[in-house]
Amino acid sequence: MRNKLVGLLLFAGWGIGCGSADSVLRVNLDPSPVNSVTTLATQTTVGGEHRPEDIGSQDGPPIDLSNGTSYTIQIPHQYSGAAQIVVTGLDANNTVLLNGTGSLDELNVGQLNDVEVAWLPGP
Amino acid sequence: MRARPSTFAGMAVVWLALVCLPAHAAPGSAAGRKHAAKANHLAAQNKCKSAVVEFTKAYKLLKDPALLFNRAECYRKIGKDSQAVKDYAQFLTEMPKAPNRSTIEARIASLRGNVSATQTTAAKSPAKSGEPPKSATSDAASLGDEGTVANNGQGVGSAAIGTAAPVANESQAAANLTTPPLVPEPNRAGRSHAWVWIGTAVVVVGAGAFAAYHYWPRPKADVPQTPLGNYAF
Repeated sequence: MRNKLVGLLLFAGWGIGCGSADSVLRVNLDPSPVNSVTTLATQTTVGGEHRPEDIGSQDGPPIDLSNGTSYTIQIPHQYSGAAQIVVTGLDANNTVLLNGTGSLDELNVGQLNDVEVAWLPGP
Repeated sequence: MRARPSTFAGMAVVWLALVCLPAHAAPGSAAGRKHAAKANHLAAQNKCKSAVVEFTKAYKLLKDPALLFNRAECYRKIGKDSQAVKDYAQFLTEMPKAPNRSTIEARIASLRGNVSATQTTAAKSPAKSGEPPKSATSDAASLGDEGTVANNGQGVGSAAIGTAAPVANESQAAANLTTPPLVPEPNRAGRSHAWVWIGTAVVVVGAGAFAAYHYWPRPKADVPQTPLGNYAF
C-alpha cells in the first residue's frame, strides 16, 4: 500500500510540476486610416469567461493604427476552449470610431496563439 | 474553462460514498460486530456459555462463517459436542475452501466419537429402568450430512474408551480455546480500515494536487513584445 501511495504522490507531483504554462493570445489589429483613436476598449472571451481591458486612455496620445498593431493577453493555464476578441476604437470624446472582432476556435493552452482582428466597416 | 475542481470534488464524493454507504446499507453490522467482539472477549475469558449466546446474536446479524467456527470452539469447550459438530459442519459448508478444513474435519470426527460414546452410555442406563434405548446411529444421522467424516474409524475407537474420552477431550478443547481462532474476525475490520486509509490518502492527495494546480507558481510563457503591451486575462 505504501508503494501505491508513493506512486500516487509522484503522479500528482508530475501533474503539478509538468503541467502546461499559461497561454498567450497575441491580438493583431488590422491597419486602419483612422488616426484619432486614443482608447481601444477590448473584451476577451475565453471558455465562456469575459475580461474587459482598456488600452490607452481618453486623454492620451492617439494610437497609431496605420500599419496595424498588436497586443498580448496572458491567459492562465486553466482556461481553454474558444477565444473571441471584440475591440472598439474610441476618440478623446469617447466616440466610437472603429469596431473589430476576431476569434479562435480552440485556444492552444500553454502556447502563443495569434488572433487577427479585422475592422468592420463604419463606426 | 474551470473543469478540474469538479474532478476533485467528484473524487471526494466517491470516497464519501464508499465510506458512508456501506454503513447505511447494513445498519445491523455494527451491532453484529459488537456482539462478535463481546463473544470473543468472553471466550478468551473461558466464559463460553455466555460467549455462545453472543456468537449466536452476532451470527444472526453478520452471517459470518468465522463466527460459526468460534461458536463451535465454545460448544466444544463446554461439552456440547453435537452442537459443536453442527457448527463445524456448517462452517465447512459455508467456507468449503477453509485453510483449516482438515483440522476441522478431524475435530468433527473426534467429537462424533464422543457423541456416540455418550449416547451408548445413555442407551445402556435407561434400559435398566425399562425405557427404550435411544439409537446412537439415528442421533448421529441428525447431526448433518458429514457421514463420510464420521466413518473414518475414530468414532468407534472413542466409543470403546467409554466415559474417559470426554474428560480428556474437554481439557484439550480448553487448551485450544486459548489459541486465537483459525479464521479470525478482525480480518474484515482490517480490510475496512484499509479502505478508509486509501480513501483518505486519495482525498488528501487530490486536495493537495488541486491546491498546487491553482496556486503553484507557473513558469512564465514566452510573451512576445508588442507595441500596445501585454495584459493579464
